[in-house]
Amino acid sequence: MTVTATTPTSLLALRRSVREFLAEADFTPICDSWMRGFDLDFTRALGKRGWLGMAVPEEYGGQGRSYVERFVVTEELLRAGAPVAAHWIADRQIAPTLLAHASDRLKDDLLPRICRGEVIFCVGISEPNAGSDVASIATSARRTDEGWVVNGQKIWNTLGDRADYMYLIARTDRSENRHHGLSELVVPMDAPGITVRPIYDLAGEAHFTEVFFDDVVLEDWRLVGEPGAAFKQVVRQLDFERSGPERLLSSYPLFEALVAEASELEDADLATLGRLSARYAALRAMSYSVATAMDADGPPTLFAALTKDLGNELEQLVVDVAGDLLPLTAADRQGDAWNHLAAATTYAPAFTLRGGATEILREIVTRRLLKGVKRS
Amino acid sequence: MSDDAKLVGEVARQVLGRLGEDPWRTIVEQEWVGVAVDPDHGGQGGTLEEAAALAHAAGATAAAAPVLEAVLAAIAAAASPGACELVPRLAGGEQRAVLVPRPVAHTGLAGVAVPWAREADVVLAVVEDGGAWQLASVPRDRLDVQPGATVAGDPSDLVTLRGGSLRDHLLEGEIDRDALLAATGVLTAARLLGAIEAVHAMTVEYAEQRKQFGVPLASFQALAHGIARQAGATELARAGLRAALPAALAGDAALPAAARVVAGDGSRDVASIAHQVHGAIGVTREHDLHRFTLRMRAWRDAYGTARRWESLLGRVVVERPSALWDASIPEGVA
Repeated sequence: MTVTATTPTSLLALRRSVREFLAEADFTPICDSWMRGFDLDFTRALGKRGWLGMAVPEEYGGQGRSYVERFVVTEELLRAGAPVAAHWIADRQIAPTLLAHASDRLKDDLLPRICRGEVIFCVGISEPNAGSDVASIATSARRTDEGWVVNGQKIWNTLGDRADYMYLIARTDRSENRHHGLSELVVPMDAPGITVRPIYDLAGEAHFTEVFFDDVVLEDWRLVGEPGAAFKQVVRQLDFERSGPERLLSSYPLFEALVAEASELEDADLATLGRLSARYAALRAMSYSVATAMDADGPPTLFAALTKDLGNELEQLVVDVAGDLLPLTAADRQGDAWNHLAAATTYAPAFTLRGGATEILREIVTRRLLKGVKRS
Repeated sequence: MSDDAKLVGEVARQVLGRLGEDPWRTIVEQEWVGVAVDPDHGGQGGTLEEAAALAHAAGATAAAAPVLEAVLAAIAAAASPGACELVPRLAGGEQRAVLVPRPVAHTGLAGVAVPWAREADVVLAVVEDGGAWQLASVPRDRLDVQPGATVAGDPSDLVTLRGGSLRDHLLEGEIDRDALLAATGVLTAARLLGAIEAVHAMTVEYAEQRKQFGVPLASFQALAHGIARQAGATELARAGLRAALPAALAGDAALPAAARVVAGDGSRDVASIAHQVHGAIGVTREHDLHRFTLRMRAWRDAYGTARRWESLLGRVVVERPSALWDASIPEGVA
């Protein structure tokens, strides 16, 4: 892995340049902007500045920089509530997965376009009967003379209705142990036989979908890595999925708006804000450590799981606290803080579910930490 | 953590593991008192990081010894321009000093609980007057000291000034409020972290060894997930301190306050989960657990209650919302 030398000064300069860009950019800050802030022009503007594919080597159109530098950029974008959803999945987890496992043809085809913000990816792992239990995947990809023929159903695909490609896990061999026989494929979403239906969440927004496959034919070269190796390969992708600062900053714009309304608060309520502030400070340091570890050895499974668990807890706590304190300090129910609160209240239940539910994260931790925990 | 600080911590854990009759004398002999004080001011010329390593060792061994107390008093003295004669005497052990754990008004030193005051020749107090902080140095013979104890049984004595005002004992010059808060936050967080790590490790070991229903406790998901929460609290406290050290060296109090708050929160969670996992043996006098958990309770409120640190940080962030971002995360953390 190539790592650019980073110094405190160069990181600070990078952070400042992102802040300057954001100060000039035209967008409305929202909570959960990495999931719900969709703006292709904004995404492409980031690509032009070299802030997509930062850790992708230059030969594939990336910047060849470090994960720590990527961390600095993503932290500033999330802090500002900037619309980064269009590229988030591709940049965060698809690019590193392709780099680690895909053929040259797939890499050459997709990585430069990901780095320019030109292609949108969704992920097709979950199914109606395979949520946290990935090994239960039933969607099939059968090898034929024409290529892979896919049948089945995926669900909870963020951006499924806007994506150019789906990263799909399908069963390619039924004879083996259920952890084996799963393979990864890149699916063009305009292939015949694909039907996409939006799913409205409790916020009334349709940011995810269900996707049906009816004899969808894919060329051979769309397989990622080895056939049957999906379970092994995806573990690393899931590490990338849960290792970023978005896992603690989804409700940060609400926190900042709350703080702006807090000058009249009493000591006990200031103490509550102090507790949240302390958690942000310590979690930012944990998240930074995850990024340094990614530069050294790739995502640190146990430590990243702990960071996500604590980060998700904070994201929800901020929403609860804002709900308690805002009526005390901004009783008119007008303004940014109230708007953020109304939105984040409907987003919050998913914070501890998506990208690995709390209980799954604690299993990851305990199985690595404790001798005597049964491993299934 | 630097190699120097690591070494200081390792040695300290060994020394604190076999303390004799007079722990303060050991602390002086080990040249710990002035560890974070410049040699020009009579100190040992180490850094705040080494002082934190000592406080961490005191936590890791649940030491019944005034390590943090002696070190912090020397730091406070060195921060006061008027105490230049006092610091070398403290470092050399000719005098023993403790610091009143919170700023007081001129008339405020009445029945204030001060850790280890019974052994002090001098009690130092930060006197707050219209926002300015100044140090008062009061000799033992001007004080009434009533023995008291923390919930863990460590000395915490009620100190009262015998007549007059702290004005009579003020040392010349103001002290830098943020710098002293930063040092206090870092040292108290480090001591809590040492205890948190030790208790987490004890809990992991117990859950792996103790069997019920024919299997280790660790195999029960409800208990295992509690231990995962302990691991999270431990890492959070570690990260808080990691971010706080460079900030403290730069004189910024926000991140040290944050470190102290997460360590205080974490100590409560880690202790309660530890007791739940240990079951009845953990509440016995003969088991080591209470030596840690009761001190964690006391240390959570030492040198400023948990609530006081929380509201201090809350006020900083409300006044300067970028405080969490201006300081040295992550640029100074590496």
